[in-house]
Amino acid sequence: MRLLYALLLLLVPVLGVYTFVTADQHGWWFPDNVSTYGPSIDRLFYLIQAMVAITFIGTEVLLAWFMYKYSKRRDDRGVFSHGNHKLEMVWTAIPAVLLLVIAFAQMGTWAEIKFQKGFPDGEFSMDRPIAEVVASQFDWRAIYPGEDGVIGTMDDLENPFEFVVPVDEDVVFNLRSRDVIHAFFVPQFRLKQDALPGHTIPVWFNATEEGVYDLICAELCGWGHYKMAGRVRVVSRPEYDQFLADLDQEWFSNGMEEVQ
Amino acid sequence: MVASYPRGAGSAPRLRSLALPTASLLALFAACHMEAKNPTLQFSLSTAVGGAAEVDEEGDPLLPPDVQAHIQGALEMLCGTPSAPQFMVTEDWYDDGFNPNYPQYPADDMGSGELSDEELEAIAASNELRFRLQLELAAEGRYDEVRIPSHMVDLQAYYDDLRADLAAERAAAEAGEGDPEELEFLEGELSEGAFVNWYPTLRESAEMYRQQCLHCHGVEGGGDGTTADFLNPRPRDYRHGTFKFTAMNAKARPRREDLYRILEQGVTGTAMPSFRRFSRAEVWGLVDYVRLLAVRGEVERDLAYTYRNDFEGDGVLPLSNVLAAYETVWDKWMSAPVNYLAFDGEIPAATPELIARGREIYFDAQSGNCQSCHGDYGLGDGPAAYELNEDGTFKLDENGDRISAYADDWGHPIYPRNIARGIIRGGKRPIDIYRRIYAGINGTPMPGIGESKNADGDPLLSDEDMWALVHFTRSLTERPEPIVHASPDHGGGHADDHGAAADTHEETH
Ligand code: HEC
Ligand code: HEC
Ligand SMILES: [Cu+2]
Repeated sequence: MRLLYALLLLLVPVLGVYTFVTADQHGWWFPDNVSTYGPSIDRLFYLIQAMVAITFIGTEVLLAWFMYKYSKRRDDRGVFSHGNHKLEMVWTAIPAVLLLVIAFAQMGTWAEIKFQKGFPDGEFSMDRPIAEVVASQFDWRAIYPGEDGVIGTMDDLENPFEFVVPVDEDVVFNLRSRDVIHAFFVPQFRLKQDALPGHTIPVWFNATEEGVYDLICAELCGWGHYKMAGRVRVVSRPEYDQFLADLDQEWFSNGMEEVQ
Repeated sequence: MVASYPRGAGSAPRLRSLALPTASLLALFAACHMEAKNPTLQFSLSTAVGGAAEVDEEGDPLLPPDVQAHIQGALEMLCGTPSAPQFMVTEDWYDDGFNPNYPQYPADDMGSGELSDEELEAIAASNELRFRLQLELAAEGRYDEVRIPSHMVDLQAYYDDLRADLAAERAAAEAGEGDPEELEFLEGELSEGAFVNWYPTLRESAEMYRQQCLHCHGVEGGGDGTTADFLNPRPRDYRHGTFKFTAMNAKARPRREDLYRILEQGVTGTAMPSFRRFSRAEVWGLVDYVRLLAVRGEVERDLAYTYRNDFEGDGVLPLSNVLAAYETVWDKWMSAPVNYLAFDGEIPAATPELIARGREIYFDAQSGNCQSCHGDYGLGDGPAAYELNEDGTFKLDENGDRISAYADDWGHPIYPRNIARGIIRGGKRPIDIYRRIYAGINGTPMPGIGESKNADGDPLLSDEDMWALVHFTRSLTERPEPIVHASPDHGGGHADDHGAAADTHEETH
């Protein structure tokens, strides 16, 4: 009987590992990365994944083995022990070291993505962002600065739901929220950034492939959170310019083109 | 061993310990195999003012039950039920070949031409986007794996038919018979046509409405869904046929395009979100369903009114009257394009001079007089919008809030917008704001001044003045500081405490 239970417990790591190994085949793994800094995020993920995997398998196997070995026998008396100083030192020190490893390993990536002094400074920069993305319960809209390049002025152009950007270019945008905390999350870009009410947060990315990507709110923001979806459309430069021109035309239209 | 159990009792806990996990496993299993059952929805009559099920103070219905049943039956004949929504086609329509149930899609001629070719192309393009995964699967011939969104009953049926036909055609081809052209058509249709040319029926749109809109707008479109009580402003009650953010003059019914635009843009600053995440075809379908609910609601109000006033509450309304009411309501919707409002000319540039002129009009009691409602700073705190004490100060309720002097058409208190917050619900494009100011906002006290005349019968505002006002309004929405404040320091108006005004009546969104 105790063998059965120990084996049952062993099923947890076995099934767990199996799911991970086959996840890719079922399409449960990461969506393809299409951003320049995606690979370094993924590397960090795999580093942590490896640590966790080793720990997980080790502890689970040990657990199953202990369960088998030390399972209660009818006439045994419980043994009371009061800890093992050496053992405790070891299992405190190892995670501490691992945490330090993670802390050092992520520094470069974090600096690259979030440090403002490392922000791109090309056509789009912190001073001249491509657009402002505004989150509100429960939708997204992109506000392009219009001709003057300044957001918040009368020639701004608004596009609900869809944020259009050029491919292979460093794109800097401002993230804002109109009500509560939301988070801008595009899994393919490996980019997640909270939007805080009252703050204007600069964010950058460089998308390497044209396409349409889901923009998801990754912060539980109220009852409609589940449907707070948007879209990022990555297009070629000419298409992007055309998009802006069309938007401009629609925005400053006098409505006559609709008269049949 | 410390304790010893009396024999017999020992087996009970063990049994239970096995029973519990087994039961929960079974429950889990059962849950996985359970289909969500959609309740069958029914349209009920409106209890709102003017509705057929309105009651008096004592709670007695204003119309007797048999009359209500009559109206209910008439409405079902005209507009169907939530599970089978359908417009009745009148004889005249039939003769004219007009059928609002298929506004644009009798299979090959693309219908009554309400959608232009470009629009249909755009629909195909957005369908392609929406169904891209399915299209890829179908292109690889993996027809079994194609998943069609659950509410698209008719597409699913069509798709299943195609698959069956294809199987039969292939078998025939293998046997050396069959028609290669037919085979090609089926393969093409399966891998593309079924999805790309898809357009929802009213039934599919009703299901979509149930999933996406009902919890706010209610089964009958009465703006009384379960979420509605928590929202400010409340979701629109379509049953008056009154829509706020349209391109229409003279409080006319909106065009389909106007409703489409609202669904695509959402109403910023309110709970009404953008629905661009759905394909264009789906959004057009929702527009058609909203129109059905609006027509149904209007006919209901019309019939209730007739019963109350011309029949003193009893007697049976002849069919001809019912049809007349239906046609009158439809005529209003059909005549929408006549009232389309646009500006025939080039929009003047927003120069500082023009904006300054706009500010004058904003404050001028003889022409714009916007300040009376929207206040000196555009904060929506003008004296005309609230109940005042004798000494001209604001009356306050028990919470210390000002009391609105107006109710909107739906009977809710309404406040002038705080324009300086920069949130313009009906769209921030110049032409949107032009339309709001020219034609007013339907169902609210916000007046349209585009066609107002002065004492001599001349237009109150020239085109340039209108645009001055539009640009001034737009300038109020600028960040961080408007270029030109609507403030007394810049002339006009009377002194007020800016800070105090700013936070007394903030909107809740
Ligand atoms: C979260 C609640 C919510 C949902 C879901 C919702 N709406 Fe609305 N809707 C509103 C509110 C609130 C307004 C009123 C805005 C106002 O008065 O300014 C509104 C207004 C409207 C209007 C009127 C616009 C006008 O010009 O007067 C239409 C049409 C409409 N909604 C259609 C829909 C459709 C169709 C759906 C489903 C696809 C939907 N709504 C889903 C809350 C909602
Ligand atoms: C009788 C009071 C009243 C007057 C006078 C008035 N308004 Fe309004 N206005 C309102 C109300 C009430 C609303 C809000 C309607 C709503 O919430 O649907 C509003 C809304 C607005 C909006 C927001 C529209 C949107 O799409 O969200 C603008 C802009 C506006 N008014 C401009 C003006 C201008 C310019 C004038 C002067 C020509 C003016 N108003 C005069 C009552 C008034
Ligand atoms: Cu959110």
